[in-house]
Amino acid sequence: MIQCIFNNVKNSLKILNNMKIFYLLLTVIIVTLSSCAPTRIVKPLKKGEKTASFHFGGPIIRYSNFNIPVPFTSLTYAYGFTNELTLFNSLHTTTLLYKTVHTEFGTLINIYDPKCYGYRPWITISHVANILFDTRKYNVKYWPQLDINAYWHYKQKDNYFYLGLSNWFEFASHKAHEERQTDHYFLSPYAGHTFSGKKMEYTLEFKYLTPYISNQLSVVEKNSFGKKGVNGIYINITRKF
Amino acid sequence: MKHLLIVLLLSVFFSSCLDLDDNLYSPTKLTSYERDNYDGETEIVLDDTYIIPDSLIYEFTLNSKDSTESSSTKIFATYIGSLSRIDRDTVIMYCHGNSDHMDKYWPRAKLLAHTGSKNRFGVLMIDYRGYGLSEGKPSEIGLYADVDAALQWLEDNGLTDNRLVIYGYSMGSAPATELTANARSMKPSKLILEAPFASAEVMVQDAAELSVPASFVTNLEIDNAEEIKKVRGPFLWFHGKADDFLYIETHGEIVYKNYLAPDSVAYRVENANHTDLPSVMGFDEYNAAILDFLTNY
Repeated sequence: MIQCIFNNVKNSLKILNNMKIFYLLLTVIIVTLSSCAPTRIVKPLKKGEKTASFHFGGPIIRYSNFNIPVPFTSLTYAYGFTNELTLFNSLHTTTLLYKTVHTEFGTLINIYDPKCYGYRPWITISHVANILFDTRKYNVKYWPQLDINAYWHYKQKDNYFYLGLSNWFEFASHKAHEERQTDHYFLSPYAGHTFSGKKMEYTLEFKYLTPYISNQLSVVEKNSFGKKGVNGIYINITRKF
Repeated sequence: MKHLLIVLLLSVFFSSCLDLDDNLYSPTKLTSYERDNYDGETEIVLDDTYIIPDSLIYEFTLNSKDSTESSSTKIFATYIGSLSRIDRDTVIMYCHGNSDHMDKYWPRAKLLAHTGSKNRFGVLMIDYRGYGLSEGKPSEIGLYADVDAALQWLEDNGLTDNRLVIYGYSMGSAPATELTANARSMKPSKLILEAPFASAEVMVQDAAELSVPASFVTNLEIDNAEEIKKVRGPFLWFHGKADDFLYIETHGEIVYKNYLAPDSVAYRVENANHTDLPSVMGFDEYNAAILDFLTNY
C-alpha cells in the first residue's frame, strides 16, 4: 500500500518534470503576493483589546490528482485603538521562507452600526498597505488594498457570518519588456464564518479570487467554477488578549 | 519589545532558508550513455533510418570553469559527425532543455544531424553540469560556462565563427542567446531558438498577473528578451502555439519582437506544445526549415 502511494507520488513528479515543478513553486509563492491572504480583521476590536492570529490556506490547485489549498501561512497582530478603529500588521511567513518580506499595515473602521441584531449588518472598511521587499536586489513594491465587509451576529452571541469584497490596486502601467499591464484592479469576493469564544476565535473563509480574470493561461491547474478566477479556502486561528 | 525582537530574529532566520532557483533544473544522473538503447522517456521518436553510424559518434569530456570556481568541472559531450571535417563543416551547437540528460535529447540531436542529408552538418551536444554523467551542480552561470567550454573545443578543432550555428531549446535558449549576444570563445554566426524563455521576470509575471519584480522570488537573471537585442546575425525562431509551459504570447513573441536585425524567420506551429514541435511540424518540414535557414541566410 505504502509502496503504491510512493510510486504514485513518484509518477506524478515525473509527469510534473520539465518546468512544471518550477512553475508550481513559482505560483505557490507568487500568488501569496496577489491578494491570496484571508481577510485579516472583519469586526473592530474593543478599545485596548489585542489579538494575534495565525492564517493558513490559499487558492485551491490541482496537485497529484488532488485539489488542495496552497498552504500559505501568515501572522497578524491587531490592536483596538478605539472602539471604532483597529490597527493591524501582518507578516507573510511563507513568502519569507523564499527571501521576500511581505508585510501589511492596515486599519479597520466601523462605518455602519445597526444598533440591534437583525438582518441589517455591521459594515466595516479596511485600508491596507501591502509592502514587499526582497533580500536579493532590495526591490521594493507597494500595493494598496481596500476591503469592505458586512457581518451579522446571531442574536446576542459573538459568532458571526460575514461577506466582503477585497480589491488590490496595481498602479504600474507596464510589465516586463514594456508590455502593457492590462489589469489594474484585482477584486475578490469572500464569505466566512467566525466562531468566537472567550479567549479564542476560529474562522473559516471562502474567497473567489479575481473571478473575471482567465485562469487558463497557467501551468498550474486552478480550481474554479469555470475558466475564470480561483477558489480559495482559509482558516484563521486568533488568540485574544 | 522582546516579542518584536523574537519576530525579527525569526524573520532573518527564515528569510534565508529556501531557494526556488534549483527547481528550474531537473537533471537525472546516469552511469553510462545509452543513446539508441535508452529506454526512458524521449520527446520525439525516430525510426531506424535516422541511426547514426558509430564511427560518426564521438563521446568525450570537457573541463568547464565558471567565474566562481577555483577548479574545473568535468562535463560530458557528444559530437555527431566526422572530427576531421570540423575545420570545413558547419556545426550546430545544440543546447538541450532542462530535464534529465543527453540520452533524452539524443533523438533531437540525431534529427538535427539529418538536416539536408545524413551528417551534412556536425552537431555537438553537452550535458550541463549535474546532468547525466557531468559532474557538479546546475546553475545559471554554469550553463553559460559549460556551453562556452564546448565552443572552445570546437574552435580548438578548427571551427571558425562563420560556420558556427547555435541552437537553444527551452532552457537551452538561455546559453544560446547569451553566448550569441555576448560572445566568449566563439561568436555564433546564426541563432536558432525553439520555445525560448523571454525572461525570469516574465515567468514570475505570468504567474502573478501583477507587475512583480523577478527578484521577489528568484535569483535567475535569464533575460533572452533583452540579450537578443544585441544579436546581429540571422535568427530562426520556432514556437508551438499550444505551448503550455512557455507561452508563445508572453515568451516567444517578446523574444522575436526584440530581435532588431533584419534576417529573421519565424515558425508559429499550430497545435504544437512545448516538447513535441518537431513531431507536430513533421520531421521533414522541420529539417527543411532549418536547412533553408542555414543555406539562405
